[in-house]
Amino acid sequence: MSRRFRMRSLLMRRAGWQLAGLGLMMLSLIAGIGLLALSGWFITASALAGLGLIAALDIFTPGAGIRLAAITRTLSRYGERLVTHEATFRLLEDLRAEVLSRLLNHDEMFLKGLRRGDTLSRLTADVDILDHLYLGVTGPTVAAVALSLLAVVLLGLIDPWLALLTAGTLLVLNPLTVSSTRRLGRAPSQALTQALPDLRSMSAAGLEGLNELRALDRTSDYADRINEQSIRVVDLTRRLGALDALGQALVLLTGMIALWLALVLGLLIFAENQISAPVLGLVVLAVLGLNEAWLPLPMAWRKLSQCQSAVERINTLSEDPAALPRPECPELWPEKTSIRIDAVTFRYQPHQSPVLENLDLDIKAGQTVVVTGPSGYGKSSLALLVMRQVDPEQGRVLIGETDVRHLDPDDLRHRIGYLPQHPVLFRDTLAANLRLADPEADEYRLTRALERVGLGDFLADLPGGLDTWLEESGANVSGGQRRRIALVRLMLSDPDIVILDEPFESLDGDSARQVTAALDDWLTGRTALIISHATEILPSHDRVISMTVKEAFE
Amino acid sequence: MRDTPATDPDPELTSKTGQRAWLDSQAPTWLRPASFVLALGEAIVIIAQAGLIAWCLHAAIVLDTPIAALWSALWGLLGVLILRAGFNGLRGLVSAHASASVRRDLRKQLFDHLCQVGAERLRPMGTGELVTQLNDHVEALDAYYARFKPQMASALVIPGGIVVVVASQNWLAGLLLALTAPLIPLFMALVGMGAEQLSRNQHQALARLAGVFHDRLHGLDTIRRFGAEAREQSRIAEFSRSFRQRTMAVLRLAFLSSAVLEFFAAVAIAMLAIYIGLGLLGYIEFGPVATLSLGSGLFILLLAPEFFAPLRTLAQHWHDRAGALAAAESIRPLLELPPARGLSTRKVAPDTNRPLSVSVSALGFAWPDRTMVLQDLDLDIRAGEHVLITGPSGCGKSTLISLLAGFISADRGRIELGSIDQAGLESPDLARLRAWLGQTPVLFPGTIADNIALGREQASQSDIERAADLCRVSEFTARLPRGLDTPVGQDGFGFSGGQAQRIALARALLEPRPLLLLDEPTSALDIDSERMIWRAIRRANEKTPMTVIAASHSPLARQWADRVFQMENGRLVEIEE
Repeated sequence: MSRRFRMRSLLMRRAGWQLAGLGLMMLSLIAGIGLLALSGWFITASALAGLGLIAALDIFTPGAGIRLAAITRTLSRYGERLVTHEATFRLLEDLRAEVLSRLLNHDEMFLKGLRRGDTLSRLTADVDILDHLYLGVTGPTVAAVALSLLAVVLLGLIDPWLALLTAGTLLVLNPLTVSSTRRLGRAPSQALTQALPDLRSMSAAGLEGLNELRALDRTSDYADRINEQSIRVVDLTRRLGALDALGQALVLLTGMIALWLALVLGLLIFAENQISAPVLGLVVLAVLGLNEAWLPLPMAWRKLSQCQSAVERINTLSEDPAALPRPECPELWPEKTSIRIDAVTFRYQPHQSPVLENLDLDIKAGQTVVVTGPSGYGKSSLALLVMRQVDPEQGRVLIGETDVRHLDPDDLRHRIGYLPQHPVLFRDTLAANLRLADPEADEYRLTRALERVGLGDFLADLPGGLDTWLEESGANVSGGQRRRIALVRLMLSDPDIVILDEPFESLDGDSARQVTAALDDWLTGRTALIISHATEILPSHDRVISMTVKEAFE
Repeated sequence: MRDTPATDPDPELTSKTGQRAWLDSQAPTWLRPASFVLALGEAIVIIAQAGLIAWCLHAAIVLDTPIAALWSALWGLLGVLILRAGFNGLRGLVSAHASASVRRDLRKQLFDHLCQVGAERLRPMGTGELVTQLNDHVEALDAYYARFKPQMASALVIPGGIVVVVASQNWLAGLLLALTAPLIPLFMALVGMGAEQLSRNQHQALARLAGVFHDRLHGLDTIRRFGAEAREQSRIAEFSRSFRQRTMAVLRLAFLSSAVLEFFAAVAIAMLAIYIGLGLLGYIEFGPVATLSLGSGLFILLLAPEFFAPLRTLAQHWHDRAGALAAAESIRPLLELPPARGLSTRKVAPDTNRPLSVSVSALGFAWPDRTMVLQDLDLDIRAGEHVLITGPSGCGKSTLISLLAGFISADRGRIELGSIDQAGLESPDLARLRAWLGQTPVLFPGTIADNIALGREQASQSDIERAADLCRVSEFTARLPRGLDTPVGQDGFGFSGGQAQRIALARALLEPRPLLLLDEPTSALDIDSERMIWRAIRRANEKTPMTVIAASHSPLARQWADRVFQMENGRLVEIEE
């Protein structure tokens, strides 16, 4: 089954809101046109009646019509804006839920790939940009086309040529303008999607590495490079701005030509006595009013390409197949959770040299084993293999007596507790972050758990206590506190196997000792693999394994 | 204890008037006159258009003029209509150009200034935030110069011109338009005042919602491990819903301002139409009814929507203005940050061949709003010595290294390199004297070789290879298919912290300097990587002897150093080993 996001089906889900918005949009346009057209009719008829050229005129009906149009115009515009915004926000709500649930189907390596670079930020922005699709493109386009078609029909009742040459001109030339400005805008838009992130990463590196640059007196060179890239970006946006101006001027020109044709043809038909003077006034002002519906379209459609690439990017996300095959008939989670690594060779990329070569390792159920060694020697890949986020090239990884490839991936996720090297905390309250592991935990339990790893003072200092909001990437939390909060979160869950990747990094001696004490307690009865480059402070363990060359020496 | 009282931010920097004045001062000087001239042209064309249409209809309907006699007027009208589209397009082109020049100049000025301010002061602000300010906030000014400012001119000139012309035809109709006009900005201001404040909050709410969502995507793995998929999905839905409800409450109010405008426009057109119609019928005697004809009536009616159109467009661009004001508020304080190091006055040609002695006397330094970090610090280091400075984190070790490197200047005291006053050295001379290695290596977009050379074109390929060998970079690049030409960064190969630091060391040692400054060079590394770094420094010293000052609390560094100093209360105490 195709997992593509279908914009149409998403749009349909809020069909009621969408249609209400569209209806109000058209109503306000019709009221605007009606106001002008009726006024034109009324003034012309009044002038003729005043001169005695036509018989007495009923002034109440048109007067009431004009007032009604004025009020309708005001109210429907207000209502339209409220309803379309409401519809858009609901649509975005659906879209976020959709993206989240689709991504939850992918395996860990794929998600890790997402985290590289700015893919995730772009995805977040992509969802937000899609609000433009309905608000700026679909609604106004449908309204403009429908109204122009309505005008063709109504003017066709008066004279087919008048209908074709006025509203018809709008219906032919405006889409032409819209599609060609959109086509012309595609190349610079495309270039901009590359140029802007490049500028961002260049300036990020420049600001991070200011001292590197200053130490070597390269600052002004680098500033020049950034300026060149900035000129590239600004120039692309200038071209897009100019294109928008051009599109708008062309749509205006088309409207003006339609107006002129309406006047000329109207005068000709009037001269042949096929229409009355008030109708002539009505036609000219109606065509003038029709123009309003088309003016916002060129820019809206030019921005549509941004929406499309957003949809495409979201689509590619959901299309990728799972990297690791799921077992067709997964085996039950083993009773005894020993870990055995059996002659495993592993490399990340086919062209790279192996990170692990012919590695053997045995951890009995309930044992704690510490793996130490310098960076780049495959300590972390060991963790990935046990959790089956990657598969070995040769050899087997067994939990109990079962190959992890035959276990249910969801069991592997839920029964193995993992503290990654860079744990993720969410922008949310401290309590909500902790309750991720145990939604039932009460405040007392959370407080106790924090105190046990030495975060008692930290909690006491927080202005809102457990309800304090944790900021972006823990801006109000230090690296060590962050790691300990993630550890507390893990310790609120009840896994059979525990893997801790550098649990003591960025902890000072006292905090590290508190953490080890808390761990001693919690790790009892669980099988644990602790990865650490520091060996001075460790919780009580059964063995230390040092990985120096590409195999383990005990 | 605070050393200096926290100063209140300059009101000029935070007030809206201040932001507006600043935004206007950034615009090219020709933008305002050009906008006004174009708006004037547009006003004339709009009035001519209405006049010609009204006259043609009047002539055909009332005067029974045959269409053959109207052709010259009709062709003239066509010309006017084309001119109108032309003016509109031209205004768009001119303002896009103006906006581009503002953004280009401002970004350059801003980045140059940030370089002057220096890493030490910028770090607490967060690189992510600065990158947003430098890129997204500068881009956010586009709409202000490309749309809002030119529309401001149109909203003044076009309705003004129309009122004058309409009043000359019929003073009562002119008065009606003139009366609604000041009411509109008044109402808009009243509604806008509240809405703008609220919309700023809403902007924050949107950013927060995007952040909340982004975090969940980032932590999908974590969510799944705790089996919290359903809970987190409903949490996101909850955030989205409360965001929508709050936003809609803001919008209900904010849209009132455009509704007010819409109301006045519609009612004014209706009132004019009914007044003109009744006047033409002879039902009312009030005002200058006698002069009304079909031509003047239609002329006034045609101009009425044109009177309101520029105001309506301006209201649509009002949020561009709010966005630009917010951007200005975030950018301007950056431009006000003081430079880290005053410009030097004296030019000295230092001797770059031999190791330097370093002499520091009575050095004092404090970060703004913080207690003194260094107090009366003295330090004498002989040429060629290897000195270690230790102490708990936050004691000022890094600050001392930054002062010695000349990244920041001291509040008091003096630093002499050899016998030269360091404060008097210009950046290129300083760069010839000292090399520097920081705690977290920064790799720039480009290849590994590019990162070692860092734009120093005089460095040959063999120099780069030699530095790469010395710092054991070659050890891991040999395993890469493209070796030293492997690109780093987003799409390139990811390096471990130890590997990146070796690249950074190769960069610092590519051209050996008489003084090497090390700022916690190994605090993020494992023991083997750390050993590798200290050995590389030792080997480099064997080739070219140099004075080395390192801030570090690593035990390995103690073995490496000739002398060790402990930083205590802003002073250095030598530890006898």
